[in-house]
Amino acid sequence: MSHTGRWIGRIYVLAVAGFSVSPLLIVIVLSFGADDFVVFPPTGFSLRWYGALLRDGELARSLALSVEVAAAAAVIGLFAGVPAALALDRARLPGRGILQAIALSPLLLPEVLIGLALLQFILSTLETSPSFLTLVAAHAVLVFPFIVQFAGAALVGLNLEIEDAARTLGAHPGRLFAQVTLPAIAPSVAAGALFGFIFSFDNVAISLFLASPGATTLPVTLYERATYSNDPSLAAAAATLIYLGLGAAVLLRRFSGPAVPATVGQ
Amino acid sequence: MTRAAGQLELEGVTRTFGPAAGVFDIGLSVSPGECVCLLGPSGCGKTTLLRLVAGLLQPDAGRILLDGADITHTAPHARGVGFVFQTWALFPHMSVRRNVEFGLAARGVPQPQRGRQARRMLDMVGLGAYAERRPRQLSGGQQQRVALARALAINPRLLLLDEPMSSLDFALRVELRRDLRRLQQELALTALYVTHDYGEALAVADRTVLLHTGRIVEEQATTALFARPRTAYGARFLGLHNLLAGTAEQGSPGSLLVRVAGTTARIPHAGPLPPVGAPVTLCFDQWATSLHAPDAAPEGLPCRLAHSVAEHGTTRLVVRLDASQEMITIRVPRTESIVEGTVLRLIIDWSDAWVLEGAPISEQFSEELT
Repeated sequence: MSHTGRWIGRIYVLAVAGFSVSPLLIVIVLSFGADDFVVFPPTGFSLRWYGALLRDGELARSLALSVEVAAAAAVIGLFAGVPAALALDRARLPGRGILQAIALSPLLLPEVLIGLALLQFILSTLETSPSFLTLVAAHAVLVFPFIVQFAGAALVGLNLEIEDAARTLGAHPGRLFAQVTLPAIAPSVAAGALFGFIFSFDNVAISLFLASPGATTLPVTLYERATYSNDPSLAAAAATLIYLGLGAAVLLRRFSGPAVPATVGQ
Repeated sequence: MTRAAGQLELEGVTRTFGPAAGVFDIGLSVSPGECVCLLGPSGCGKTTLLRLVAGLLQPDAGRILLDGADITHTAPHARGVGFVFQTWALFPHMSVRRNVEFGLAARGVPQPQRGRQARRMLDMVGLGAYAERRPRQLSGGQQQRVALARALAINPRLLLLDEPMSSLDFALRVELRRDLRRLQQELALTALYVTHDYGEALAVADRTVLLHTGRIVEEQATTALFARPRTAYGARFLGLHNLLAGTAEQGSPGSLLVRVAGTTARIPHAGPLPPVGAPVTLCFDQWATSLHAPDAAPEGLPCRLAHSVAEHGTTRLVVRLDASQEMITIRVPRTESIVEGTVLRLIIDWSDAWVLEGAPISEQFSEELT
């Protein structure tokens, strides 16, 4: 490529990156503002809104709820998703393609639709009202396709001779799964669980439908506050989420980065 | 270390994949301490046969016996058979040592013995210093040795090897197959070795079984097979001999007259004689021939040089016989190049030729093999 072409490419990439990152940077800048209201640029630097965040009981409660829901959903997703991925990959199921599409459908359907459908299901079929348990169940539906997808991709890339080798060496099916198959796909499964966790953690639509008194997740609380207040504590909370997201991205790289060639095999 | 070498018997083993693929009615016996090579082109069923013996596939019919016990329906993990895979199939998330210990752990061997045994195996293949590495930190040849150590660590009664060297370069392959042969003989291992490379068969196997489209075509001691294949398929596959179509004439004790390439040749022949007029296929070594100028050997078969190829240490000359238009390959020590189309005389040492068993060479065979 020519010198000029390379520069045009660089400028283009920088522009796209700047476009997608600048709102985040503005939120971070706002969170360190010293003013009583959201003003850009802030007139002074302070950590007071982070302090306010720490004293804010409602935010702390919804943060705790979000973490609990996401973690529980990830665990349920793991126990449901890994066997589902194994069945889709190994068992000669009739209509495998359709089953796979169904397993991945929560990723493709609009969340508003899923939220509405689940609310209807809870109210009219289960004849109960939204609670912590129904919220967790709904989020598990969101996490499930991530696990199926990530575990499935790892299983497809797995060198089947590795399992044959374990069999000929004397491993019965239980040992084979626990010591060979599962460790080989574990990095991908962990990445899928982390993705699912994040997806559940910042979900608004489904949580909004299934929120119950005293069970409001962090994104819903932030959304509600943003509609009626103009207080930089919101920016501090959002910025904190950005820091957590960056941390998760670093973790993901560590999980899936070097492990990919090993699971794919020679 | 005591190692009970196994006796393997296959009786009428059949496993089909669709109407044409698979292995059909295989009978095979491997003696304790013997290394048998399953040789054939890809798709001939040799790997299928190996997987059947390991229990990774179930036969549709037939029996597999190891030391007299029927293991046809024994699960692979209960067979005690070592398997070295084409991709080596090392466990990527375990160290080399834990790879080698895996089979012992599965058998419930406790830690001090397990570690000692693994170390002994790794020392045996010269990788004692690499015990704590991960497989992907090793070269291809080292990984292949680890796979061998892992398979041997369980004291297998039978060792199965599925093209274990096909992804290594030539020089390394030559070195490793020599090491493998030495190890197999020292430990008196019963081994079944699958390859499509006849050089490997020659280097490692006491006996070679030639497979074609799921059936055994012929089996002989390896050196005998390479010197004197009995079938047209075997001769064509190995590519070290010439084949000529002829017609049987009358025979006498120990020999047979054959009308071939416009001449009559006296071929040494023991056993029952084919009826007069029956088509036969003659086979002879590419070295059992000589080429001459027309005036130097007027009694030779008239032919023309089709082409010549310089090979490692020798030259391969291919001539077309005037009488039958059949192609004959002659190996000679490196020579000056001869102009294509040169008229020559071919002398075949018929006392070194023999009549092949089975149906005469069909066009089908020659198409498949070229």
